[in-house]
Amino acid sequence: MEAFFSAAILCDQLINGLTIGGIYALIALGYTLVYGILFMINFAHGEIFMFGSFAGYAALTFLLQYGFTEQRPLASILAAFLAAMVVSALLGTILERIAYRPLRRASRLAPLISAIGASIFLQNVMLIIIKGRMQVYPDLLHETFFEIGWFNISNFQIMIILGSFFLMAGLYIFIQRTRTGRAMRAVAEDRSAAALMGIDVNRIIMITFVIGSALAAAAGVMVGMYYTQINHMMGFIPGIKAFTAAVLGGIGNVPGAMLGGLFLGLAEAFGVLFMPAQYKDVIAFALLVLVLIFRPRGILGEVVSEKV
Amino acid sequence: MPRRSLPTLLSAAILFVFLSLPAAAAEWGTIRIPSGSPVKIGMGTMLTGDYAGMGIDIMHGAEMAVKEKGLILGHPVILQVEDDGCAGPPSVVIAEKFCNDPLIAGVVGYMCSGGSKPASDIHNKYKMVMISPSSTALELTSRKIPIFFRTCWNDRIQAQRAADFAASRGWLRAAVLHDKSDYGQSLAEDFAQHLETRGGEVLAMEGVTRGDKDFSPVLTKIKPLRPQLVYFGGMSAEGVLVVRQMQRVGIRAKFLSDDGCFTEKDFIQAGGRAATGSFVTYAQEPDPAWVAHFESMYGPRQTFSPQAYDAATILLMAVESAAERQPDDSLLIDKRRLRDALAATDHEGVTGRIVFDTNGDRTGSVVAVYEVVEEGGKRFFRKVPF
Amino acid sequence: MLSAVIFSAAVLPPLVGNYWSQVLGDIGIYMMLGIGLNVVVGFAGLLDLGYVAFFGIGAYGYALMASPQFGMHVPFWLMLPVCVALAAAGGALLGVPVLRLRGDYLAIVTLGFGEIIRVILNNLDPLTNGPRGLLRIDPPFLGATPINNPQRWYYLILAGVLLAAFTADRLNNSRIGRAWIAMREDQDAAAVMGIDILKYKLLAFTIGASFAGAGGAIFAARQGAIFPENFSLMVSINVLCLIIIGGMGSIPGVILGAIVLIGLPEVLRGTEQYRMLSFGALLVIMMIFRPSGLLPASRRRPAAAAPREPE
Repeated sequence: MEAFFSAAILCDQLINGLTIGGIYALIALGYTLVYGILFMINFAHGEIFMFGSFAGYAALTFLLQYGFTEQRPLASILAAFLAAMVVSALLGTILERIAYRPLRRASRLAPLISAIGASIFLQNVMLIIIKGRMQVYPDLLHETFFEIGWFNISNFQIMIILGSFFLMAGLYIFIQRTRTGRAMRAVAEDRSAAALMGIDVNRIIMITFVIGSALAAAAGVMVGMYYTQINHMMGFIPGIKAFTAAVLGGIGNVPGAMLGGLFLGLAEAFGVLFMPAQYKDVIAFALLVLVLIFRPRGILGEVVSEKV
Repeated sequence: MPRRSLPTLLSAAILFVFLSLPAAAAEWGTIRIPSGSPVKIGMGTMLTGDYAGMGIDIMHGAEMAVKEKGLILGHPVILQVEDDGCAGPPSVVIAEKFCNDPLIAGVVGYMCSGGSKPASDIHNKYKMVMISPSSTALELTSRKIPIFFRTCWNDRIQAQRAADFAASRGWLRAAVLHDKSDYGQSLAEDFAQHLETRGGEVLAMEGVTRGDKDFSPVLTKIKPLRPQLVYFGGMSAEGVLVVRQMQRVGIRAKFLSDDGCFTEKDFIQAGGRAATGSFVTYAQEPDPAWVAHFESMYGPRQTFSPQAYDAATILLMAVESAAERQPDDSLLIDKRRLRDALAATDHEGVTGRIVFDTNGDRTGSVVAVYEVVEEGGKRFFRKVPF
Repeated sequence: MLSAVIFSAAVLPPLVGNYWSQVLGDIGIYMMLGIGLNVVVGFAGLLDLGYVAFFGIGAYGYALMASPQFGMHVPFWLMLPVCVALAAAGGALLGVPVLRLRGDYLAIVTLGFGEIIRVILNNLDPLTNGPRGLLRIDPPFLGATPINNPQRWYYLILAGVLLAAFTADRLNNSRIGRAWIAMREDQDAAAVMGIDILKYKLLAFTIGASFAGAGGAIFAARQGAIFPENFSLMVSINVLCLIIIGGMGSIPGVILGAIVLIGLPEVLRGTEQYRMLSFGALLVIMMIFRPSGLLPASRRRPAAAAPREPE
């Protein structure tokens, strides 16, 4: 029993938790941004994540053919990230235009059902494209391991943890310090007032989707490189878990989503020590149910807009 | 709906009772193929979905056998393939379809044990023979259904051989993982049990969820137990991630898995360097000449096409021996004779000599162990003498 | 007119044979599920994405009591009301904490609940036999005759569907149904009128769940073998799709939805991957252009068509 709780194991699980937590956080940000502005759950967000991952895969495979990846691995990876973010941003925009904008004045249920439909549609589009076979990210960088004191960490894990942190920091600065960011916060707080002030609400909504989707795409490429296996269903469970994370932190609350993601990742990594590992997914679902019942506002409290 | 619904309910109930009484339970009987009609072989396999690669490969194996046979007593042979979704409800629907089709003599199927189990009950009702190339669950033959056969092994044998192999290499401290599926969990538990009878110690038994990718938490959990061997019961989708993440987490142990990981693309290629040195159990290597011929037609083979080819071949052989040509050029196939002919099979197939025991399992089906080796820049499975 | 439809439905099996009777039976079970979920979604306006949980409770409830698992062989007709009650209890248990939540949160929580149930079924091996499933489940008996071929099952399911439709229709036209309409159209006004919103939501949830419990018991007895993978999110989504496309809040709509969504793919076997693709696209299209479905409820606007109120 002592073996389970040695310092080394706890440190390892800490790294595991932060890595997957960073990924959850990046995806959760997309949910929280959209919910803050539109009050709808973008059920298809997990599929935007999935498409981003595949876009990165396509870019890498393309570059691989021309030997580009051997000569300049770092540039190839950056190209993959770029491709993924562009594709997902585009997808997010199209989704918003086609499946959500027509339903802005409809009932509560309609956009959610439409989102479910979009999610199913996107999953099956990818299924048809890849003919049901799992795809494998090419091995570009070799994973090297470091032992720092009690910590056992790899360069991939460092990249993911730092990468997600910088993206989140960047987002936070963007929202707090730039004009567009202020406009986003204004629309989230009171859409009609913002419109009266001259803010192009539709444009802001589109920007929100673009940012959220790009972040999810970045997470998608990270997942592709780290776990190497990608398939058309890869967005489903992570999507639900990321939504859990967003709710945990307080839906609509940007730092909340980041915190929620990390918290969920750590809960899974440490939780596995206390129960049979097959219950790992239940941790997320149980947290979701408990948070929504007992503290629906989340850890940091949700962003409450003006109620008419 | 107006108040009249109550009397209509009543009439439905009466009709129900009335019509339900004289329903016939199908027994042994005869299949009649009229002159000019083809003899059909049904096939249930997965055509779309997670394991479609394996399923389509199975289809190709049977297709090849049917094409080679061509004719039975002057009637063309046709393979009718349906998508069984590797699950119960679609397999049951297809089973009904096949068993009620007057031109179908037998079925090669179904792909997954979850589908074969309920489907075999239906086949048993209609007494239509079925040969599965890939359903390895023990219960399929332990229930002694007369019409069920299989050209693959059953999982108990596979797990026991794996445990014997591990014991022979001195890997007695094992951590066992499985994918919480019928297939994976049964194998894992049988392996654990058998290893213990050989003096081994099972340090952990943990499940992972199919579809999940992050196994670092569970691997980190078992790392301090210092296992010599990690046995994984499940398919290559998860197996390859386990073997990669084992390395990442720093578990220095051997990896041993089942036929679910015996795939070129999804395990060896996807596993990269981490897959080298892994061990996998599978049937005897099929006849290389057959493999070359198959691959020239269909591309690289997956796991069960040889078994499917053999299944279709012996089914067709049995049909041919049990069929009687009539004066009007039709064929009469007595179901019981067909079943008995199949049970009496003694045939040298591409997977070895095929003889069935009284339950429908192959006798002497030898499970071999393969290692992933890297030579000359290529990685492939090599059989390990054991 | 209706009796003509029912009569023609009753004479189908001998005409179409075993295979199609099996398919029609599958459609029938989905009809029952659809009618049940319709009570929750269409009548009361609550989006339940975890409906399959109650289906599973009904199925496992029966299977555990009528198979070699525990050696008990309780007759089907005795277990049927028990399964209904079990599922209803599940609905009540789930409903009490979650029904205070907003519509979209409710959807996600119920989805989580559905998944939790499936994982539990898959992992509680000593009880449920885990992924290996429960086999050799007893069929129902009418006197000495077992109901074990597709044609007999068709009749049982037909009776089930008629009973379910009848019950749902009675509910719709009762005081409870009118409370649901009021709740759906304008929750605040309904509360002001003295309608206990929580109580009626709970009723909808519980009653809806009980239909699934019956469907589950029938499914288990008919399949003869059940596995946790039979109770995945896909089932919940399938049922939701057929309600939405057929017509929310409308019983003929649900019936049409089941025939189209479950029967058509069987006819078009081989286009499996395009089936889910079209489901997804159809959901989006229906929401935008025809939220009340193909055969909408006649007088009342169902929940998805009602304009959004401020939260």
